[in-house]
Parts: sequence; C-alpha cells; structure tokens
Amino acid sequence: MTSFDDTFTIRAAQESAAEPDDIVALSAAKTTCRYPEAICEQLRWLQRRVFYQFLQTGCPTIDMEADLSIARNQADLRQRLQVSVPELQSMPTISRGSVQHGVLPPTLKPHTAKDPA
Amino acid sequence: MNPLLRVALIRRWVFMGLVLLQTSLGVWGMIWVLPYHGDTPIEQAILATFIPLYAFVAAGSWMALFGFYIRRRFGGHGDARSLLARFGSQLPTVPLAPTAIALPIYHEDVERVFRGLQATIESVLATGQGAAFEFFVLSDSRDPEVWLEERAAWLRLSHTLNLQGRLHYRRRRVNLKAKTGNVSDFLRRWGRKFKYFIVLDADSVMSGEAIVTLVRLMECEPKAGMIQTVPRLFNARSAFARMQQFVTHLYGPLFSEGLAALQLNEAVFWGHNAIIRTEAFMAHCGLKSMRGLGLWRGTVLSHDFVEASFIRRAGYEVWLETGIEGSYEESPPSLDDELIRDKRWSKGNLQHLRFLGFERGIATAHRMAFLNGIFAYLASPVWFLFLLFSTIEVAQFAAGDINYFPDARSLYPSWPQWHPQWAIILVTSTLVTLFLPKVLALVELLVFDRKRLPGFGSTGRLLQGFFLENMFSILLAPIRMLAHSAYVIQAVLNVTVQWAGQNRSSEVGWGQAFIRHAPGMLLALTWSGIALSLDANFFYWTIPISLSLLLAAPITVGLSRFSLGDTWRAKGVWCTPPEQGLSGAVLREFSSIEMPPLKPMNAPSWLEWTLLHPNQARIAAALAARRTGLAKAASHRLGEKILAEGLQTIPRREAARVLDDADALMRLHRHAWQARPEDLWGRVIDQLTRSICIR
Repeated sequence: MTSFDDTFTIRAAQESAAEPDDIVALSAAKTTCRYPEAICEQLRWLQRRVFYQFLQTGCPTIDMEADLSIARNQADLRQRLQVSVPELQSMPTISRGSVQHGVLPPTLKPHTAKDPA
Repeated sequence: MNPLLRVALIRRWVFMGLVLLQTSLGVWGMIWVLPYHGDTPIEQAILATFIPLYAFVAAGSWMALFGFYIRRRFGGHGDARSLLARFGSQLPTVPLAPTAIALPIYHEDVERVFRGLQATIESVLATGQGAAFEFFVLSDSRDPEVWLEERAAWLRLSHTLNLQGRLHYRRRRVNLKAKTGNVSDFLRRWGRKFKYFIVLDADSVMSGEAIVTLVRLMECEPKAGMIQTVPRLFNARSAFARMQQFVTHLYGPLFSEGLAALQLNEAVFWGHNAIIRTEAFMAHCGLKSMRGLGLWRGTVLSHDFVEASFIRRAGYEVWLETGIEGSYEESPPSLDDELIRDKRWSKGNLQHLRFLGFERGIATAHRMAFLNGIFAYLASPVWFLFLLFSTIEVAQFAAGDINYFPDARSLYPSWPQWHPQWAIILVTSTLVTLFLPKVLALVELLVFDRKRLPGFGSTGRLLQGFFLENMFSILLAPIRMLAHSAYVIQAVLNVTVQWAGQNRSSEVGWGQAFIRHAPGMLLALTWSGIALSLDANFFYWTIPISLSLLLAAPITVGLSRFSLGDTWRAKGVWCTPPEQGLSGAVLREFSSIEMPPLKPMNAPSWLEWTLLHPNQARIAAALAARRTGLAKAASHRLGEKILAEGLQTIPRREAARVLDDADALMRLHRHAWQARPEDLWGRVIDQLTRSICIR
C-alpha cells in the first residue's frame, strides 16, 4: 500500500488536469450495465478503488494480474480510506498583541511628545 | 525649526501662492465673462462653483509643474530630501529585520492573486534575503467556492516554492470591518513577530529589490512609520486598461514627484505596496467604528489616508518614495469597473470629512490630503451644478428676461455686457492648465529623459498614443463626472456600498453598458435639445459634454475590448515599459509562471471536490478548527444532514461549515466512497469519476 507521505501531495490535482487523456483509457467510465449484476458490481468497486488511488497519487498503477475480487478491492479501498489526517498548520503560533484605537492620548502632543528615534 | 519642516513649509506656501494667484486671475476672467459680472444670484452661484473647480484644476497642474522642476533640478534621481537620496549609498550594507508580507484578499481571481504572489516571492528569494520574510495570505472570502480554491492554491504554492511554514494562509470566519479588520486581526495575532509589514493588494506585484530597499530604508530612518512606493500599472489587456497604463507610465512620474516634494515626510498611504512599522501602527492606527450619522457611521472605508495621518500624529514620518522601481498593480479592465470601484472610494473619501474637521492633532498636510481626496469626487457634482447654472443663465437671456436693475437699491441700470474675447481667454487658460502637465511629461521624455523612450516604442507611436489618450480623456471626463455626481449623492444619502472583490478581467457587454449609461444619454439628449432651442452658440459649447454622454455606451464597450487592446498593442500604440520587457525581471517572471488548473475542468464544485478528493479532504481535516462541546455537536448534526440529504438541499455556505470539523468531514468522505452505487453518495462518486475523465 502507498503510504500517506507518498500520497499526500497536491500534485494529484495538477496531474489529473494535465493528463486527462491517459485517464480515459485507464478508467471504466462508461459503465452502462449490460452484464450480469454481479460483474457490474465488481466493476464498480474496482473503478472506485482505482479512482481513489488515482486521485490520491495522480499516478494509478493497474496490475493486470491482480486479484480483482470484490473483497480484495473493498479491502484496498478501506485501507486507503483509513490513511490518517496529516499535521498541517496554515498559520504560525499566535503571539497576541493589541491594536490600539487611534485616539489621541492626553499626554501626546502632535509631532512633539514622542520621538521614536 | 526642523530643516525638513522648513523646506516643506516653503514649498507648500509657494505652491499655495501660485494656485491662489492663478485662481484669482481665473475668477477675475470669469467675472468679466459673466454679463452682469457676478451681480445676479445665478451669476454668484456660477462663481461659487467655478472657484473651487478652477482652484482644483490649478492645484493639479502646479503639482505636476513642481514634479517637473524637481525631476529636472535633481537630474531625474528624485528629491534630494527623499529617504533614498539620503540613505541610498549605505543601503547595501544594512541588515534586514523580520518583515511580514501581507496580502489581504476578498473574493478575487485566485489564479491571478497567486500568480502575482509567486512572482513577488520568487523575486524576494532571488535577492538572497528571503530569510527575513514571511508571507501571509489573509482571506476574507466567504464563498466556499472561492476560499477552498484559495487554500488549494496556497498549498500548491507552498509546495512549489518549498515554503512550508513561511507562506501562510488564514481565512477569517467573521469579516468584521472589512479590510481594516482583516489587517488588524492579523496584527493582533501575529504582528508582534515582525518589526515591519508590507501590505500588498490582490493585484500587486513587487520586486524583491524594491521590498528589500523598503526594509533597509526603514532600518536607516527609525522615525519612518510608513514608506509608500508609487505603483505603476502593468498586465493591461483591454484598450481601457492599456490607456490607463500608458497614463501612469507617461504622466505619473511628474505628478508623483510633485506630490512627494510637497508632502515630504507627511505623505499619504495608498493602502498597498507600502511598508509599515508594525509596533507604531498597532499602537496608533487602529480605527474605531465611526459613531456619527448616516455616512459617518460604521466602518471607515478608505482607511489608508486615516492611518497615515494617525501614525504621523504619533510622531512618525510617512514618505512617498518615487525612486523605488519595481512596484506594480493593475488597472480595472473597463470604465464600468473603474466606476464601480469609484463608487466605493467616493463614499470612503467623503467619510474623511469627519477626520478633516473633527479629529484632533492631525497634520495640516494630511488635512489637505483629505480635502484633496474629498474634492476629487465632490468636483463632479460641483461641475454638474456649474453647467446647470450656466444653462439657466443662458436660458434667462434667451427668454428675454433681462434685468437692468439686479441691485434693487440702485437707481442706475446695470447693462449686461458680453465679452466673448474674455470667454476665449478663459477657456484657453483652462485648457492650458489642464493639458500643460501632460505636454510637460511628453517633453521631458522626448528631450530630457530619452533613456526611458524605448519603453514607449517609437516617437511616432508615442505621439499617436498621446493624442489618442487626450481625445479619450476628454470623452471620458463627462461620463465620469455624471457617475461621480450620482455616487456623491448616494453617499450623502448613505446608500449601502457593496464590499466586493473587483472585476479585473472581463469585458463589458452592450446590454450592461446601455443600462448603466442610459440616464446620462437621456440627460445629454435633453440638455442638447434645450441648448439648441435657447441659443445655437450655447449648443456648440455643450457639444463636447453632451456628445461624450451620448456615446458613453459604445465608448465603454469599445474600450473594454481585449481585441482592440491587442490590436493597438500590435501596432505599438500606448506601449509602456512593462509591455516592452523593460520593467525588470519580476514582471517577466509573472508572465512566465505556469499555473495549471487546481482541479480538472469538469470536476464538481470545490466543496464537493474537497469532501471527496482523498488529499483535499485530509488537508481540510488537518486545517479544521478544534471543535468541542456545542460546536462539535452542531458540526456532527450538519454532517449527518449532509450525509442523508446530500449537498443540493443545503445552502453552500452552511454546508461548508462541515469542513470546520475533521471528524464530521472524514466521516462524510469515508461514507461517500464506501456507499453502494445506488445510494445518494454512491451516485455522487460515480458522477465524480465520470466527470474527471470524460472530456
């Protein structure tokens, strides 16, 4: 299984946009059901797993020899869904200060009382 | 007396003297033009409107003349009193202090914002001084379709530039006090970490060299509270924006140099592309909500001038540094977009009446700046009234209503006198006052400052652009006048101003243009009809104004066209240094940045995409607020509701609150992907997988 560190990348979105043609070939997008229900269901679960992997990594690997049973695909998807949420911080630690309102302090005469230099 | 103050006072008194002298001569001329020489009430009304208008025009003209003098006096290197002139030689050795670069945004074009930010950051990093800076995107966006995209763009940029932990993103959940509230909130939480902060606008780009110079100048002059750069326009595409760009590059240097020379250390802050001393700003520049009536109640809209006056009041200096290159912003793409922006600015500037008259301790220079800003908009209704009174005067004579005894106490008749030669002299002097600064800017470029000439293309194209710009500025003036008059009235009546991101990229359609300009067109037709019926000569005088108003819609539509801008650019009309690739590396970098879409073209909305995309969902969960108690329970309930009903039935902003809770969000995510195909969320997943694959 691919670890979260490998998969936690924003490249997925970029590549999904950059290479849609390849994906068309890889995906079972046209799932008009003309097969027995059991096969159709299997295709859907397979598709789910493949797409989740694709969105996660931007680079799906299709193993043609893989076990395509529903149970295997469901297990794979479940594993992927269990990948934990990363630690991520959008802002630094808060260092509180206050913004004073622009009221003229009684002690402050304009231009004279305070020389910041 | 402080030598700087002495120079400032001498300059300002000379300036005021010249403006007053010219205004007196203009008024004297006007008195001679008027048949009763100002003895009747209507003529007094004409004079009352003429005096401030003429003084305002004269002040603008003399300011540009000052700029011309300063530029020639110091060989184009800027005023000798400026910070750059005084500290320029020692700058390379000055160490930098911790500085935040803050970018407040609100519903802007995300791709454009982050392209500009990336160009700026890369330019800063290229100076080798990147360690002194941290970058903050401060979003006030409320629509999840916008802020989710912003967040994705921030993550991508952090990743691209390897700036994790130094490029930050914060979205305010409560948007109190608009932009001032946004910046204040940032300062309250993180301001103490930084000695300075530089504010950018959503369409700003600054070179690393300019940013480093600003920090070093602040280090050199501890009394400096703010240093404002002069942003030049760039990246214009529509004909209107390219014209404005041409204006700022050709005429801008004269006006900004004149303004800086007069204001010296009491300059103003324009809200962005400036550096601010954080501690001083936090201690003195917080703006209270106003407690007056109507317009003068609530948030201060045009906060920048007020903040500059407050920091000056506290003893710090405010400088406008004209010599710092590499500061850029964009123009609105069309006249309509400019007018929408002006609507907000007019209300903001009129609010300054409260600070002009009732705020203690403000420097006189800043009171004058307030007055100038107020009259920039008030001039329009005054001009309108001037035209109205003039029409009434003509109508009275046309109707034969000649009063030989305007003064009831006089026994002698007062004969109306017409002096067409005075009218011609007055009009000529007004035109000279209006156009002399532009001509001087052209002369400076062609004669004294030829090294800048290649930035404007060939001399022939420059002259062609110059005449075209003047023609359009004459055509646009009455349209702006009418719109500004309406805005001033609306502001005084306190009609609500929408606080919204600007349109920075679209053309104007015919329908929109006709609807917006229909009142002006009707007014022009009526006025022309009345003028023609009164006096043919008067009708000819009204043509420049009424024709502009009649043509307002086609002018607006035509100038907003990108195709026209592209065509004229290809022909070399209105060329400017940024278009000629002569404005430094940062703009070349800006143009060359590749910004692939953040999500596939056919993908669902950002909210759905964030909930369902494996990485986006985890990013959202990682950034979610830590909910407890009632808030947690509310998020859980919302999550369950979305799970049961889907996203269609719940308002988007409400549904987006589920992103505030990591558990609710991840539960939704997992449920959707494991849902059976016939389930609501199973169908959503099916649609998602199809949408990102099928072209």
